[in-house]
Amino acid sequence: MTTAGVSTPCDTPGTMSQILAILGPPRSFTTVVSAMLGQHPQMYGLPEVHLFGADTIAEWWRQCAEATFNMDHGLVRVVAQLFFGDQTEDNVRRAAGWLQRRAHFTTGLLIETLAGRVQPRILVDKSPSIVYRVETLRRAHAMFPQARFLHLVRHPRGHGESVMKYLRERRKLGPVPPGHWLLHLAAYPNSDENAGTSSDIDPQRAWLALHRNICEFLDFLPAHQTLRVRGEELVGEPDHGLREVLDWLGLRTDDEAVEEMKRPERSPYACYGPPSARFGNDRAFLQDPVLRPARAERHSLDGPLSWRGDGGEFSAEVRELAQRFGYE
Amino acid sequence: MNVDTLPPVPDPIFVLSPPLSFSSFFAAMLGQHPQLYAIPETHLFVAETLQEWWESGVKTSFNMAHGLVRAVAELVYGGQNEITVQLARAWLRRRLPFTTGYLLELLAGRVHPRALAEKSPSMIFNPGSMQRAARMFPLARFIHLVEHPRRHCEAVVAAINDAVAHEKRVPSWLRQLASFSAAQADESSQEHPELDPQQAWHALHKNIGDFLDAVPETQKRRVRTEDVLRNPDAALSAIAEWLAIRSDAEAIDAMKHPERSPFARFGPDGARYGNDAAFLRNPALPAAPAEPDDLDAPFAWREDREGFSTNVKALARQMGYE
Repeated sequence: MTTAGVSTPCDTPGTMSQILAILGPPRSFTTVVSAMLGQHPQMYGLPEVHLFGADTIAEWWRQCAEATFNMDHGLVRVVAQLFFGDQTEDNVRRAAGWLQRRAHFTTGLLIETLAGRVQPRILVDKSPSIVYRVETLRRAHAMFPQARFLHLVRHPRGHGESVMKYLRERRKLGPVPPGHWLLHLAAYPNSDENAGTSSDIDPQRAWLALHRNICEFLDFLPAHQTLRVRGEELVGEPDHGLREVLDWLGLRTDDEAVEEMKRPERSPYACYGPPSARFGNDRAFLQDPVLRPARAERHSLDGPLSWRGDGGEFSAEVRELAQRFGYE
Repeated sequence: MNVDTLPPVPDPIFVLSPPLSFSSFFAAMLGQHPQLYAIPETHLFVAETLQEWWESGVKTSFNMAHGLVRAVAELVYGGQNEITVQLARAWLRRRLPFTTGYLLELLAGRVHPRALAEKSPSMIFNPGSMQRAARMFPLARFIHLVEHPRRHCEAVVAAINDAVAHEKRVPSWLRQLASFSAAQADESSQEHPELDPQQAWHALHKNIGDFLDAVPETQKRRVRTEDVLRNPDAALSAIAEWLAIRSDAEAIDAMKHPERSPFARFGPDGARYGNDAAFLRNPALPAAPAEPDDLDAPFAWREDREGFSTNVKALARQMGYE
């Protein structure tokens, strides 16, 4: 079957499971890029649904109960929007019940159900939690062997500074509890602010480990299913960068389609949700979802790191991987 | 059928009341409204999954599966006979991993756009069962069906006499209802504590009240059985208006015929019940009670002239009884 330019054999006539997964660590432009792709008339962008970290929806609910962030908000908002028509408070409550009743579904079946709802558009999933374990990435592939995977990279300096800025913003709201995802990202592989000295905060370790996970996973996939793009180019020069992605997917590249993609603020998830499901995307994006190409600053791999008091620089491994990604 | 390709099912309506409390009649009346559909007692929310439900059914002293089997036979296979009942059991077996809420949603999809009404007295014995229903259907409406404790106690005593006359034995669920202090006892217990059905009336209505405390006002309503029997037009119209469904004379008149429900008679062999036996024998709307019941008179069924406890009287007065 050929739909929307992507050739995918289907197990059941009349159903389809067209998935594009954006792979990138948190703070790597994944939210804005996902929203941009989702505005293309042949794609549908999801907020963070975090489904592939679990085998079943029952397990996903258990993970939500233990998470240090509102892990369920994104998926609840999607179900409210797609199955109940909008994201009112009543409908996000209905959506939560809908998901409770599907506790026996595999997470893949749930994604397939969402994909069926938006077909023939391609479902665009980006959940940064997926890149923390290679097994999680493999689960996504096992459930959707024909899925496309977009590896979204960001300069390690830009990434590290974004993590530190976000951590500072978060601290204004109060102490960051041990185990918080942001602390885990900044102090990787630790997640306790008090576990060691300030030198334990160095986001380059997470950048390296998470991109290595992605590379290890993608190395085993056929080349046509994967594409690596630099987030700075997609955000900074969207006309060129977006067309490269669209060519790869075999989708429309006309001006009308590309112009629409430059309006991520039009996504139904580019705003806060109702009280029971406020988030589901990066807070900064929810506050200001407009595309700002100026945010894609150029950085260097050389020189001391602003977040380290000891003048430390990038490790040789980080520099090597960043150069492989085309950074200098 | 894939329920996820259809419009979302309307929020269901759950009738909460103890066994032998008019709920079979009342649910069947709701189900005759042109915008509603009532299924018999499914007891689905005693379990999280259909597998657990199936295993629970084996342990009960009543025919727990009959109502759901009859509902599936009717809605999936188009009628209730020995063959469709057999097919319905197999249909359920093939869906054992499903959550009980999803199973109910599948049935609701079959009656769409009508909203499903369900009543399973088992749900009120354990607050967790009611909470499960609310978790799986967060916008569901709950009708707390009450009746005077004397009327309830007399129904329990009558059911015991009926069981002795017809079956020569009283099933353990009925014994527990009649002597609720022993309700937690093992079903195989041979104990025969004193007949005092007021305790179950109080404990079960308190369970319902405690659960409903956490339910938003717009999603709950108390209905007195006696009001429905004495003035069905007014009582049913008020319910229909609350549910935002038709309250015209034609719709209300249909509700006064519970006997027209496809579940208002005994089912075929293998799925005979699914509703109160008295309702199955005579499902027409009963006559209204001639006189209001009295909270202060002694019990007719006990020789010691015992009467209602202070707790029972207080709760009954909260419900508007005297």
